[in-house]
Amino acid sequence: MEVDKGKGEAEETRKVAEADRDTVTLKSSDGKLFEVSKEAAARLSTVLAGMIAGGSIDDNGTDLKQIGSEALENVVDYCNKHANSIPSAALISSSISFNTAPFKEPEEWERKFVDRLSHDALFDLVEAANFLGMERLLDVTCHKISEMMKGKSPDQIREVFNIKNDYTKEELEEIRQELAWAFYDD
Amino acid sequence: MLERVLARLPPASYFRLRGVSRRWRAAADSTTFRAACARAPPRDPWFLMLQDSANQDPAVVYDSGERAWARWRGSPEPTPVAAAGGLVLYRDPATGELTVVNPLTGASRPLPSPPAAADALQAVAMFGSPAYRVVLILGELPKLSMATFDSTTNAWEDVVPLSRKTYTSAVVTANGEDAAAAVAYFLSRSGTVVACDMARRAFAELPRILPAYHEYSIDVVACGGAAYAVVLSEFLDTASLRVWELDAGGAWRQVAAMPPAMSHAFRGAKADVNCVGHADRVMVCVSSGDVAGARGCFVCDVRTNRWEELTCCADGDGEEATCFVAALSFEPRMEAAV
Repeated sequence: MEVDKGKGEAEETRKVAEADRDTVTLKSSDGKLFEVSKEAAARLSTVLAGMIAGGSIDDNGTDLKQIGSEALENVVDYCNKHANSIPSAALISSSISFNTAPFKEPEEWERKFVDRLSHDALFDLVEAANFLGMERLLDVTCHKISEMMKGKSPDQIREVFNIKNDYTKEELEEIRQELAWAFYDD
Repeated sequence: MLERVLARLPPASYFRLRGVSRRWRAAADSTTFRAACARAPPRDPWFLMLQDSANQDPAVVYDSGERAWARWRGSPEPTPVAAAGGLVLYRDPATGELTVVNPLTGASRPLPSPPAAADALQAVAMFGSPAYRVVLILGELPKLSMATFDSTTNAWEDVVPLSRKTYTSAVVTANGEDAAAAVAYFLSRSGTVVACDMARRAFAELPRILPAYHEYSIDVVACGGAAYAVVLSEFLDTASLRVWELDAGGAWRQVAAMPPAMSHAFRGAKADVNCVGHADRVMVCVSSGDVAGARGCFVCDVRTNRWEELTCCADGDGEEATCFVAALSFEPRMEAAV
């Protein structure tokens, strides 16, 4: 983290002003600025919460060099929608005790939120959520991707997700045989 | 992240997709994947269906999530006798040896030999998850005793006698979390339902549902925190199949009945019912000793009284409807440790 010691009082005043504001400004890799509710950002993202608490939020736009503008727009959109929707007990608990709490099914608005995204946008959003430590958004996006996978054959999956088959024929047969059970339709 | 996504898939889908690439297959061994699996919501149960031992065919699995049938590759012996959470208990009928298996991963753990007892084995119960207990109920009515295995200590406790109670107190069924309140239900040789309260070390014979002279087949099911009896009876020249729930007062209350048009086919078939439950769903297998007799597998939602007949597994030649004589249900859980 960069600490700029040379700016003196003006910087201090700005920090105070920043602390008083109820939004934070985020800057995407391609330089676009987005405003997001400070409360929602701190609640939903462990990384942003750390930055806000540590005072490393820049009034002119906190640089998030790893996140493109489209993904960041979706992140901000998600945070703001989250701030507006009545937060259910389930969501609050999942954002606090992340990673061990049982997964809660996406709520209706979260479902709609990810349903409208293109494949690429969805994958970029997963990356962004991972980078920002947004457990709930990561849950919701991963859930959506797993739903896209359901009922597809390995061939279809490779096509949709652009994955190369690095197995030999023999290995594929071995994989089929190693299970204790065999589905009739396989 | 791939692990998180894969952990969300129903297990059958995941297994099918291990063939996508090496990385996908390797994901199953990672701790991330197991941790993510442990966070997954309750899975749709799999039903392990056993056929007549005279039949050489292996056991069959029904995946209620994907509504698909699978053939069990494991050897037909020893016999699965109980299940809890994601684990199945096998018992070798010749030696009495017990083994706990995660049927999904094939991981297994042989249990230490149960305490030697001269008494006949009445029933085997397994409950609790992830720590589990195995209880053997021994002896003949009215003199019963039990032996308990605790997975956390990996040891058997001493055999203790069960005291006989008249049926007065409320009965709570183990629903996984509350293993301390576990009650095992089984059918005695005379056809009455016996409830064994394992915490209080007591048992009671429950009242009969129908008069003994009605020709009927009965099976008992404990699931979703309740106990049910499934009764196939013949009355007024037709057959009826009804599900009764044991209420808190110890009385049977009818909660579901198969539509008469479905059950009528079992009239005069000398059919036998074998049942297993999971949450609100009870699977009822009707088999008939009569080769030409009616048979089938049905799933009943006991909350809504909805019945569905399962299309039977097509096993290659596929023509012959299969006769299942017993079934067990388990939750397919990759991360369930034996």
